[in-house]
Amino acid sequence: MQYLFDCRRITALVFVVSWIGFSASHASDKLRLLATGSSTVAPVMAELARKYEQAHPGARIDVQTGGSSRGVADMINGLCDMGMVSRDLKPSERVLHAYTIAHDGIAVITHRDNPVDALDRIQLIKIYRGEARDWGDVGGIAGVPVVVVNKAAGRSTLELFLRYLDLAPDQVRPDIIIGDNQQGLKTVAGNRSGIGYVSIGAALQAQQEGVPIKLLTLEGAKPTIANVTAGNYPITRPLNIVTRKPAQGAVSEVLAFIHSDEGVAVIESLNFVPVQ
Amino acid sequence: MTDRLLTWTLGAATLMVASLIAIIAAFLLNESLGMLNRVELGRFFTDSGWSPTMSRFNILPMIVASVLLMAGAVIVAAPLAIFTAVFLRFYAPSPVIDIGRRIIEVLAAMPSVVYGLWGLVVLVPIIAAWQQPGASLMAGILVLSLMIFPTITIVVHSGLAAMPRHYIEASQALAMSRAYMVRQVVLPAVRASIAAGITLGAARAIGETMAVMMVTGNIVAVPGDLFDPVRALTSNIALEMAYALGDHRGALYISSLLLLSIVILLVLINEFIVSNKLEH
Amino acid sequence: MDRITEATSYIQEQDSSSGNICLCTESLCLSYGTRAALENVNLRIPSRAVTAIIGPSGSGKSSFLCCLNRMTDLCCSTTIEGSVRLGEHDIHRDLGKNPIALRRRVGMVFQHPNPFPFSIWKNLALPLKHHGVRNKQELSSVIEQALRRVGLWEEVGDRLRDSALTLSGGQQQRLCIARALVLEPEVLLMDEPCSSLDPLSTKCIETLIGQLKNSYTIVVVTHDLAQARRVADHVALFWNADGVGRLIEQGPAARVFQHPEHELTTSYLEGQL
Repeated sequence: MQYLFDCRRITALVFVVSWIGFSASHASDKLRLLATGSSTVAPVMAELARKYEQAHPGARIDVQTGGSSRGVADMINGLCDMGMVSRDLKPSERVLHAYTIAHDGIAVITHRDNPVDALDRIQLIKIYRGEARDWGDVGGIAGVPVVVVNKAAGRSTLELFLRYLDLAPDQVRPDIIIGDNQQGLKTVAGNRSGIGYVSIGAALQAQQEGVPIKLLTLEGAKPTIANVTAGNYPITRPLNIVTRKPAQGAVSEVLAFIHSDEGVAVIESLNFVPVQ
Repeated sequence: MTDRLLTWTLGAATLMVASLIAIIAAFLLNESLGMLNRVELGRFFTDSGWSPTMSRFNILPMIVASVLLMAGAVIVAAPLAIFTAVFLRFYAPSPVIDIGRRIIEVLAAMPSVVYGLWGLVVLVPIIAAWQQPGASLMAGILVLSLMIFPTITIVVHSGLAAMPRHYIEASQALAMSRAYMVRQVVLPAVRASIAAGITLGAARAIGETMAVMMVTGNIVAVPGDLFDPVRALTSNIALEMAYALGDHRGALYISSLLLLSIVILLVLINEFIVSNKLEH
Repeated sequence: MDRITEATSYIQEQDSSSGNICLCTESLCLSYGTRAALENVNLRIPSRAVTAIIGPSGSGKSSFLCCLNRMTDLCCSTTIEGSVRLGEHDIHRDLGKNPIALRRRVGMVFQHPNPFPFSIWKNLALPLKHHGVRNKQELSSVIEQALRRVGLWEEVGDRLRDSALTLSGGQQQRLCIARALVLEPEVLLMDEPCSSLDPLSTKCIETLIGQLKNSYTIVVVTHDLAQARRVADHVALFWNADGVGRLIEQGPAARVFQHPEHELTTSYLEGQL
């Protein structure tokens, strides 16, 4: 058995090594761009990339996620061509150039069957500080515990949400920590007492696909594209593409495409607010 | 001539694999050492918590979580896997053997993300309906058990298939019942395969990242019971490596080094069990 | 073919001076799937004596032996016709689906020594424990007795916890005989028990067979004619005719070796075939 085990390992390694060699030798053939970062921007970028590739045969844009911080870090380390960052740049990151491609908001979500439809900021603070542990405390069914779903550190959604609540990361008492938007949506969809927060665009998209979630009204404002556009919704943010030097060449062509009618249509179809 | 060629080819392949592993270990050591010069090792176990951006580096809860996940998965999966392998080898009628083996091979080849997704969408809500928040040590153990069950089954089954037939003949000639033979002769005789299967399964369990991250809730805390959420070392690396800088990054490299050490330890334990063949 | 038919008719007139018949087969036929391995074997095996089964390779000697304790059950495609009688019982019909009771009465030793990969003690204790001997002292005394009977006690009595695999080939084979004997069978089947051993070990096993025949009925398959002459009281010669094993002659060893009745026996004994 030991023998079989070794054999498999060797085969796998040989395969991996040769594959790396193969892909390296083909890397410089055509126009090829790598975008990494925010999992909120990634689906938009992926769809834009698909349309762009159709219009520009031979071009290829790869999209990888890992959170806005990865987008910033990769760009600083020169590991990608476009960093995806779903927030404003911090003062320490101002060396980078940010190009806003769309606006988004952060929606507070619960399971569809949760009777609570609206919360205000104070209630949210109580929930996220672990002071309201029962849905009865915030106008829901008494006796049902609140399962607080939080995002992992390094995610801009977390940073923006906590800034809105004016909480430090270690003041939050989460029950579950999730990575990207999709995991957040599936977690809340699978837990009737859960509460979480994700990108409005991603949440609306999931709701259209039949995922059993509900977007809560926050401080009297519904999380809709119209409210984000009009600036009526309390937590909004820009979705940015960042670069180390001012955009030029292929990257600026892609940015121009994003701002074209076709690009705007893609952004709207995914429930984000395009930049006019 | 052919033999020499083969010897050289195999030698070169072995050398390549060995040096790759050595390079990985050296890389991890190198990345960790800088950090260890600035922060003493004890702090990784005694700091007041894990907030690397605020210079608090306690990884003990995650070590505990990883070890509990691995041990739990092995405890659940190993007996089932051994039963299944024995059933397929000695009890099942031949059509069942073929179907059973196919299913187990498919299960073994399934990408871990599929198990994770299943855990997130099906298993976690079921557990949540019983014990909130659902995403928990328990969910992680169950998903991992399902993942390593086919691995252990396949290894034990190959061990059973490779076992000398004369053990069976001798048992039969000594008027042993099948159950007694399996218990007293077959299972002790394939101890090495069982140990190898469990080691392989345990290594897969402790190294698993995606599936675990999706179902365990990822809270950094020593769990009080099976239904508390936990964060495994691997999930921590996956969640934070993308943006970690400086000492934060160093701490993650140290947790990788720790994972590698645990796997090496597993292999050594396996080696010890296999070399120590005799009972009593 | 004619010569063979002639030979089998001899059975009816066989001398009965050998005492009680322990095992006998009547019109025994064995086939693996569609391939016939044995045809119409009528053999009488006397009690407390050594019956040697001789014959060239492929004549069905070992297959025949496996019929006697139903080791043939291990291959699922075997079919058996005719009967094998152990005392009063037909071992296929009367002893039912489960051959365990039969195998307690009919022990077996194989061509290659096959101790379990455990300690000497455990090799002997396993069958005993299965058949109800749990008391540690009783186990020890039965094990010591069994080892003394095969002459191993002096050699390994002080290292019973060592692996059986550390023993020499001859010692392993004697351990296997001891293991078969702890269950106190009536019959001991031995399938070429010395073919993988050196001459000294062979001599040792042969002496042992000589001693054991006072208490057990022994059936030993051998392709070594000299060995058959040394140990056998009765001899049965199997022959491969058209790919099927048949019994062509049987009788007391002295008579078969000195006055073979079948011409194939004569040539086989003279080494012409």
